[in-house]
Amino acid sequence: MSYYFCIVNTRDQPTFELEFGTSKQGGDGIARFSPEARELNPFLMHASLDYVDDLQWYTNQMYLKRIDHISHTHISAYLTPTSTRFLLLHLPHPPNTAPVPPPQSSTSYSPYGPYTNAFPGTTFNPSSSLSASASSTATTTSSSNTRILSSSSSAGGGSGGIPNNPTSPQTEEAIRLFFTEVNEVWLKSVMSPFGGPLEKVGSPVFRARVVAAGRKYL
Amino acid sequence: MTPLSTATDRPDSLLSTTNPDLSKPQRVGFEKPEYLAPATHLGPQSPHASATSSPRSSSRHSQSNQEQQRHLSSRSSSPASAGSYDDGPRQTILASFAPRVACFASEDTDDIAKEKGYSGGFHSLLRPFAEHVPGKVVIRDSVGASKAWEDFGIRLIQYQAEYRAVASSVGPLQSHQTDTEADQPEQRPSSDSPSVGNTRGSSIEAIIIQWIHAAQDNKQTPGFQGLVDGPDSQRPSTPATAYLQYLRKLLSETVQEPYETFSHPVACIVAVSSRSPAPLEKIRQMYSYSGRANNAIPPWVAVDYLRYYVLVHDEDHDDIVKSTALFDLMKRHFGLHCFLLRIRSLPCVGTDSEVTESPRCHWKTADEELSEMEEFKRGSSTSASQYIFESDAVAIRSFFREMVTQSIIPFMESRVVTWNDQVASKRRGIGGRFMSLSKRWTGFGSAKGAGTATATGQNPSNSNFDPSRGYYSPEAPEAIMRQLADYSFMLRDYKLAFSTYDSLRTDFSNDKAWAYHASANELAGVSFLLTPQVLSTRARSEVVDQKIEAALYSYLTRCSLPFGAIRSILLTVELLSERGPGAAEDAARWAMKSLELGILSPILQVLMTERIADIRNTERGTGLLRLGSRRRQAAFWNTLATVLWERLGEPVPASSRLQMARTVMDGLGSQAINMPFPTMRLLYSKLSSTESDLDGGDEPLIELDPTPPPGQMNGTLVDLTERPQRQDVSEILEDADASGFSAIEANHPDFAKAPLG
Repeated sequence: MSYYFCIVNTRDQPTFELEFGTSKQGGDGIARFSPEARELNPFLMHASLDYVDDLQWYTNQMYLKRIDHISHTHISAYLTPTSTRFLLLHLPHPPNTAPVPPPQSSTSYSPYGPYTNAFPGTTFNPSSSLSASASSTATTTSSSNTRILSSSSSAGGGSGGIPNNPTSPQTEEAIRLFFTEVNEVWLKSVMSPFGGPLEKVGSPVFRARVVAAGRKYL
Repeated sequence: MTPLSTATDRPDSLLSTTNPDLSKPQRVGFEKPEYLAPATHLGPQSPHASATSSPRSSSRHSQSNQEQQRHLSSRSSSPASAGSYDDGPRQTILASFAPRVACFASEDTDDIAKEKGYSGGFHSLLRPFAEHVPGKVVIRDSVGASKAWEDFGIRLIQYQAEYRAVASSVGPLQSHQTDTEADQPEQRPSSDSPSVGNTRGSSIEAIIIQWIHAAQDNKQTPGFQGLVDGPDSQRPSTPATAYLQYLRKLLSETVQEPYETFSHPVACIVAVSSRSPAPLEKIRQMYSYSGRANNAIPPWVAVDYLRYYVLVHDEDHDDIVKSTALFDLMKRHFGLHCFLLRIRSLPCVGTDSEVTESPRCHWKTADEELSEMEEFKRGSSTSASQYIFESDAVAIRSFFREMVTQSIIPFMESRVVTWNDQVASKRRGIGGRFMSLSKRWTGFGSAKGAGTATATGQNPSNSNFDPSRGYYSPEAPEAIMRQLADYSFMLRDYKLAFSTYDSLRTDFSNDKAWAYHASANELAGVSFLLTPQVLSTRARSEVVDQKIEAALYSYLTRCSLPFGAIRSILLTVELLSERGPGAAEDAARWAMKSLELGILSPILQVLMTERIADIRNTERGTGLLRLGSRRRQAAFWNTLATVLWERLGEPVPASSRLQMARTVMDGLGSQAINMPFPTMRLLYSKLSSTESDLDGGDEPLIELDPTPPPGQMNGTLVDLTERPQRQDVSEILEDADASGFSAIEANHPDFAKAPLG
């Protein structure tokens, strides 16, 4: 899994951004987003705020769970009492394997190119569904198919880590713990007289604590 | 027109075509395009045409009352009738499910048309006129309520060509839906049906790309009269219309399938001319050939359709007295479904007096359109437009009016009533339930077609479905029910259609007739959406979602018919998107789902992305809090569409999408300052710089306002574009990783003045 964590203030500006990878199942904690995905991730985050704004009136929980997904990129949200939003974008891919770089997908975009692939015979074509996904996330994840996805999750779930399945309850719980911990740290940070909920959180200590929380839970 | 103003205009124009107002009666919505239809592409002859309302042939028949005359003459002067390119998606969908009428003309009739300059024969002469029947067409539904439709039309298919083509495609159709394959997907012969999807899809794509390029050329040279046929004003200038074109082309496909009878002929025009030496014998001959005697008609097509006999009288060469006598004889022999069509056989040029431009075919299939374009490029066809004598046009229009209102509609209505009484009500009642139960559990019940199936021993479940051949015989009750549903759908009696499709679904799934099952599910969902009633959230999730979901599953995993899946998604999206904010949310969800299924070709992916952006843009939210607003989503999808167009190498649609994305971002207003995330600005500047490169660099695609309003980001944007343009995002982010801030964030005016914690 690759993660992109973001704290968004009430004016929709990010006050803190961090990319990291999973540390479970031997992950090295480095995010593996493709360049296109890195460009579009902020848009995706920003767009999902629409759902946060809707959902906040329908639940009394601070943790809003998974609120949005576009193909395999999922977004979970957490709402603080001051309406500051924590957003976590997570993109599953097999641990310790870098995604196949998307040039291969960009060739399939060429307008006069392989139209034979236009209506593929196989009903669930992972690569084309990914190129369809506008999020242009990394291409490889074998989890495009729910069946494959569930099988991989059952394989990974045995080892006790977070399964590579963003919709599973274990992942949900892990993200909840992560959010709760970050919330604690963040509260202390915004109580600083030199900052406030609208300002950037620039403290290196805070950053280190968030990274540690990520390593611990995700 | 500056690019900025086109971008701001577009959402509104899109909104006005998709009328979400449900409180109005439906018909009002359909008339709307008539009022809105621009008069720009009327020929110069149009006032002249409306003045000369002297149809020769129609005065002879009893139907030619004053009312009809008025309609005919007014219609002849307005080619921008319903069914034109300017329609919204709902009109397109309604008009697309029109009865198909086969045209079976004798050689001498074809010769007359060829002399007139229609190389495709009699069929190509009549075809454009068939697409819209002038005046109101009154249809009675199953409960006896009459409703008048302005935009009713039929589609003319060529009898000979159609059945030669279909005969060759029988093979693959048989193979892909036996029930063993449903259980063992590895045995599925996947090479056949996807190739059908491929050819259909790719020729539509080719058309769309041609269109986009034509629109592009159009933009650069305003007076360009293009290579695509169709008047200039009908050319799409925006990608949003490219999407509508795609929808129209997709719905224009007329490939015959056993599992839906929309493309099966409702009637057959048998045409002979006055030149024929023995017209009556010729008609008899053609009649027998139009039935089972013709081996090319596939066995799943019911052949008891209406025959309509037309005597084509050549005004320039033949004697009308003789023809009238012959016509009387015809009526005596063949009954009431006859017509004497008087047309001139001389070719017509645009400079003659009393001529009018022949209307255009709006429902050509993509392949036809492509081959026409090829011909035009080779220079074999001299002009894009064809002219026809005013008198001929009036005669043909009145012919279609009489045929549709006097013969075809009453025929279909009586069919619906008969089938509803004899077949459908039996199955719906308690006895029918018992029969189907007993048939299923004890195997002792029998239906009409079961005898043949058990005789061959291939059908242990005692159903009428023949798994080895993959279709129901047209006499089986299921096939008749399906035809009943399709007829009532074409007659726009969506309630009856829905209940029939709904009862058919279980039958088909019991018989494991998966293609039938998918299609019945799809049309049940679609006809439910077309029923003029308030659509509750519950109905949406319980009826529409469930049925479309089942249709998709059957189409994709059981039969591998991606074409059907794409069609059902497009129909659902379009019909949902105009039914209020909640339904629009569902529409966007379906559209996103279609992207995830991986069945869309690259260009359709982009068009779909644009469609999502447009739907999101319409969701403005309600109340003070703007609950349900999806403006930020709209910004995202617009940006995404820009990126995808860029990847396809189409700068012009990309730039117009970028404009829209900018507009939406600017419109976020009080909720946010523009482009709050720093990397957003980076992507935008990158996009706009590549676009201006591709465009020749003469005009900046994002208007960099020299005097930015206070508190906006434009100043920063200028800074960014002045930097080395291809600065990598990763650089910025690594920068941010190191210090918590990127250099750009520090330039952010809102942050720059604030102390950093």
